[in-house]
Amino acid sequence: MRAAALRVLGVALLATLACAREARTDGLVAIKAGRVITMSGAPIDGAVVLIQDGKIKQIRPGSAVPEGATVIDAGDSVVMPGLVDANARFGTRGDPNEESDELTPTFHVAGALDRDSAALKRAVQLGVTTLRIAPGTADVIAGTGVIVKSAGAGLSSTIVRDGGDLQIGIQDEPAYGNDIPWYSRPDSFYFRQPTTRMGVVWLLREALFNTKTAIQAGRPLDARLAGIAAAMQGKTPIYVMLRTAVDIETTFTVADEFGLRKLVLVECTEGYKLAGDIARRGVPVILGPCYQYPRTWPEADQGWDVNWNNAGLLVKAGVKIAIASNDPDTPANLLTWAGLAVRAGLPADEALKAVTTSPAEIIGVADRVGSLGPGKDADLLVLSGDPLRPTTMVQKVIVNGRIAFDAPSGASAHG
Amino acid sequence: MKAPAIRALACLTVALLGTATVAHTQNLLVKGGRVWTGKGEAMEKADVLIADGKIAAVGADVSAPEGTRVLDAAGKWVLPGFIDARSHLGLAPGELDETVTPLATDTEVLDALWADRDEVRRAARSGVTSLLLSPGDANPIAGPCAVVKLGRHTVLKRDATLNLVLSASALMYDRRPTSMPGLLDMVRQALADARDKPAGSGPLVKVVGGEMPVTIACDGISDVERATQLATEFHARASVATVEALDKLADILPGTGVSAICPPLGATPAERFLQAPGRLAAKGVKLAFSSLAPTTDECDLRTSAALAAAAGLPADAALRALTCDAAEILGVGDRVGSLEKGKDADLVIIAGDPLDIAAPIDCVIIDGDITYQREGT
Amino acid sequence: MARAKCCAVTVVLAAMVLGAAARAQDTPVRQKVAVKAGRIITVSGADIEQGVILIEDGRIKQVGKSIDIPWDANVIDASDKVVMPGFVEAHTFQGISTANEQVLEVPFVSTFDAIDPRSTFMEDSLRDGVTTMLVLPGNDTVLGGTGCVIKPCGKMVDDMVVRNYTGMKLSLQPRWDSSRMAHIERLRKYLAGLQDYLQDYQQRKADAQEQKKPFDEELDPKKKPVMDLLDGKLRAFVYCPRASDVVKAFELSDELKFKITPVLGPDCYKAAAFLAKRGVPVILDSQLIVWETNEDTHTEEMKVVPKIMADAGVQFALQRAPSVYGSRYFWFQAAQAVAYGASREEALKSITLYPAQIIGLADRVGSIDAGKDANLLILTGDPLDAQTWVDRVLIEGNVVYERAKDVRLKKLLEERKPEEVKPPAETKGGETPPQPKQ
Repeated sequence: MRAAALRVLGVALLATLACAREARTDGLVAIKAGRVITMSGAPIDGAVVLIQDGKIKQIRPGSAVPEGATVIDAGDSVVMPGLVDANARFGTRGDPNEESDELTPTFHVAGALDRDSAALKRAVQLGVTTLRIAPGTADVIAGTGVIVKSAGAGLSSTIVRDGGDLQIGIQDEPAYGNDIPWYSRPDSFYFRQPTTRMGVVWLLREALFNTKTAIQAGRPLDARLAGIAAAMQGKTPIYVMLRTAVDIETTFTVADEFGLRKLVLVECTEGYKLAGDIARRGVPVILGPCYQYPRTWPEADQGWDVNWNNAGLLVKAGVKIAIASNDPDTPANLLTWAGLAVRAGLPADEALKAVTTSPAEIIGVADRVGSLGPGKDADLLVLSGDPLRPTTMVQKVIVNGRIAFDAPSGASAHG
Repeated sequence: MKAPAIRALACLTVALLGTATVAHTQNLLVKGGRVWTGKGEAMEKADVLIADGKIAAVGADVSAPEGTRVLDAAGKWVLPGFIDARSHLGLAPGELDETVTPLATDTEVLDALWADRDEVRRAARSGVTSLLLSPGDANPIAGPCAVVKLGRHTVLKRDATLNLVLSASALMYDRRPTSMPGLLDMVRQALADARDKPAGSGPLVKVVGGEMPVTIACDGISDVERATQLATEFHARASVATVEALDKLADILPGTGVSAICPPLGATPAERFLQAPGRLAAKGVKLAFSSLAPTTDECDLRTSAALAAAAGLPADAALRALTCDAAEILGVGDRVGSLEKGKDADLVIIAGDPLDIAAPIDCVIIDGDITYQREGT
Repeated sequence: MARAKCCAVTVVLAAMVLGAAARAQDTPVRQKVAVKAGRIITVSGADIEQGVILIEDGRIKQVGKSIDIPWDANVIDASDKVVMPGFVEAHTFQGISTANEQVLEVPFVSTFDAIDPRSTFMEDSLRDGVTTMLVLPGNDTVLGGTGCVIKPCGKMVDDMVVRNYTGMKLSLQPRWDSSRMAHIERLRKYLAGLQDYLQDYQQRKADAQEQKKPFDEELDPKKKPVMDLLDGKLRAFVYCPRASDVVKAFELSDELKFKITPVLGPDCYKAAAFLAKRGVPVILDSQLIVWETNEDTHTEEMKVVPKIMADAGVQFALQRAPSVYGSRYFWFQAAQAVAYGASREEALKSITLYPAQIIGLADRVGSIDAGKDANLLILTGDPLDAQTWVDRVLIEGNVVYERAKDVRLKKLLEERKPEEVKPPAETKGGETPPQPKQ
């Protein structure tokens, strides 16, 4: 009887120990891949990426996996960091601008975030794991953006950082709509400055001047001025929406006048014209799609001098660039755009940087995303081949260590 | 109808509403039915005695004074009258919002009530005895909303709740706010002012701290999350009303203290919507049903409850959502929602299981008056 | 006798010279070209590494690995490049002034009369490797008119025509102010009207003959295209916006007995099984990826149309999109199909051989085979690689596009000299310009 009891006890003890061992490796995921592009060193052919608690634990060359880990065997697929979209305009509900005022520095686009939106779900499937959602472009000082993960269980796990930047517009667009049509109400708040581009710059100058004066006089700053002050003092990045070379020149003039630092140029269609100067000032640029027709072509529906190699020329001059969607409402296939940029002259390794480490650095989350390494967020893509090839598809997307998208087996979508 | 005539009728209606004390015709004894009181177990065979518009006694073999009219409820269910937690019944569809000022905490939609409309009578026949008269969703904050009785259209509680909207329906092109962040800013500022500078803030003062319940209308799941954050921040007694995010409420609301107001569950929504009430109840979230009539055709709350029950909401929880839990959410639980001595005599007598839509409603009593009685009963 | 023979020979020779000149335009008579290619993708067969294509009189004479190059052939050295057949687009309504006539039943108009040789679309098509296109009217019509197969080079439309009077455009897309019922009713009514007209014509003809009266009334030429459609001489290209329209299109073609090629909208992937049963090759919409919201799970599902069609066994040709991104290129469309599981061979055929078959010109274009037109693309790399450019295009043996001489493309990729800009100023705060009033 006693021996039997001892045996039972022994078995129970062993079982408990086994459970404890399992508990230590519980949640450990190992992804075996043919090639791992870390973006923080040379790519590794044949490696295992270990993930635990939503973070990358280790990247090991070879194919050995630790005991107890859940194994995802990606065969000869390519693993790379999840894409970072530095300037997205989707995933929100309602107007992305508070149009009742042209100066809305306390506008937090996070208040419009709809984490359940179709656009974000599509963005995941296109491989975008981190995005900076920007305010609209209708206001002179538009407000602050929000950095989110494209998948998550709640607002708190989705939002990486709310605010901490300022977006301004130095272009024609904020002037649109302020000419009152006859059917509007006579007390409409659209009856205001600016109605022209010079009005846009004037309004911006006035706001900056008032903030500067208030700071110098030691006056307490209200919420609006405080938002501008932080940007003026270089504590937060200033995203400048602009397109033409003239807009860029104006931006630099205003920046010099008020000592603005930490500028980021966004869209910047004619950036290549001033590539040298942008590089000298150390200003990064977030680009959108660049294959439009230039304004000299009969089919052009806009007035900009487009150069398909905008990205390549900026990089050649030494500018840090990111390629982002910029398009309202639609998530972009950033890998396609990166591939098209390479076609027009951007070096391939720069193109990969432009959708991973560079946008992460520009928006200030490079400590967490944009590259794969121990301690970084487990945001990664499993691809069927070289990322810049149009024949490559996204097979799996992992966000915060969880599979957010898994393409139906057979490397295709079902009917 | 000509404008002056409308105005005259409206004045008359308002005048009628002013009279809270209406003479009740007689005492009633509802005898021998299966009584579900809303408090404790249902009683197989019990009586409800009604006097002066209130419930005088509930139990087996209640003795009634001389001359009491007896309603035979043998073989039938007797329940508290249903409470519609969010409705625009009696309001003309174009009059649901006063949108010029975004924060409309002074306009009472009660002033626009025209009680003599067909849909009001239809609602009463479907067992609804009181409803929350809510404005539309075009103002970020609107109210106060009144709880109205359907019988003689008396006002049960005038300043019952406030209506807060965290949805794109409150955005307008040429009036603040035009954007969701602008809306959130405006609402948060208004609540903060009410908390810090009570004088001159109107009914919002009672919302901060939880004295007056507030219903927050939301579009999607992120709006619901922001709503719960606001409720926690300002210690509000809140309930969330959403159509789009209904199926995900059970992932967000538990543990926040925020209740849920279910929209009408129509004939063929996705399964995940019908299962939502059941999931919420299982996680301890308080529920109520709403009709949003006449913007919807569905003033019959029983249909929603039955559909939810068929998809997993326990029968008892369904009945509570129709009655006492709805009353709690609206802050009128001291007067209605359960069959207890001293509460208003609002009852429904159903010839069968209340959650079987085929079982007809035989009689509806509001404030002790028989408002509806099915022919042949 | 000898003199007659001499005359005859002279006449024949003269005819040959004139005929050849008329056909080959600017090309000297009996021109021979030899293309030495690093890799030849024939499409119809296996690839050939380090091969040669011999061209004579604008046609492919021979393709192979070791071929003797004639001493008098112009040699194009593409030995570090990839050569494949020019892309064929079986349906487009770009490159014409307006896609549709306002009136809905205009079967008698022709895109031949609307083609704009100087349109940027023609230039872009050549730049992007399209050498043959069937230009048809747009989708806003009932009976839209007939099409014209063109090559996108030439100063006058006559120079561009490969074959006129090809295909009749029909559409099942109702106009904004009409319903599907009314739309199809219009088609039936028109055809019934045609039958009435023909019967009436025959009756009057018979009456005249009976009465021994002269009858020199011709059939209305405007009615001819539809008559040819019903006689099987013209193929109907039917635009089907929805999957249900595909079924309708076949109902109509069965009932009224005309041949159809469905031109599909994005939604038509739902009709893949039906199309497979009918066994007719189709033309896919330029949008190859369709997102559908799954109402039950509230998720977004990506439907990849070429993969769904390929799995069902439907043969398809691809279209380009007039967009600024990848889908404007045929190679991108084909690459997308391959990314999601279509075979490389099928994908390449869907932009060359299959559209050629659909427009009835497979004897002339769509693959590199002896006897076909020498329509070739000389590419800097693999066609399905985003970094590949079209280096040169040959149409009927003539080099009609050279990237090295493409002025507009050069300008689009042009490097600019950095502008002279002042260096960043020190932030002192005392050098600010006049301030706005507070």
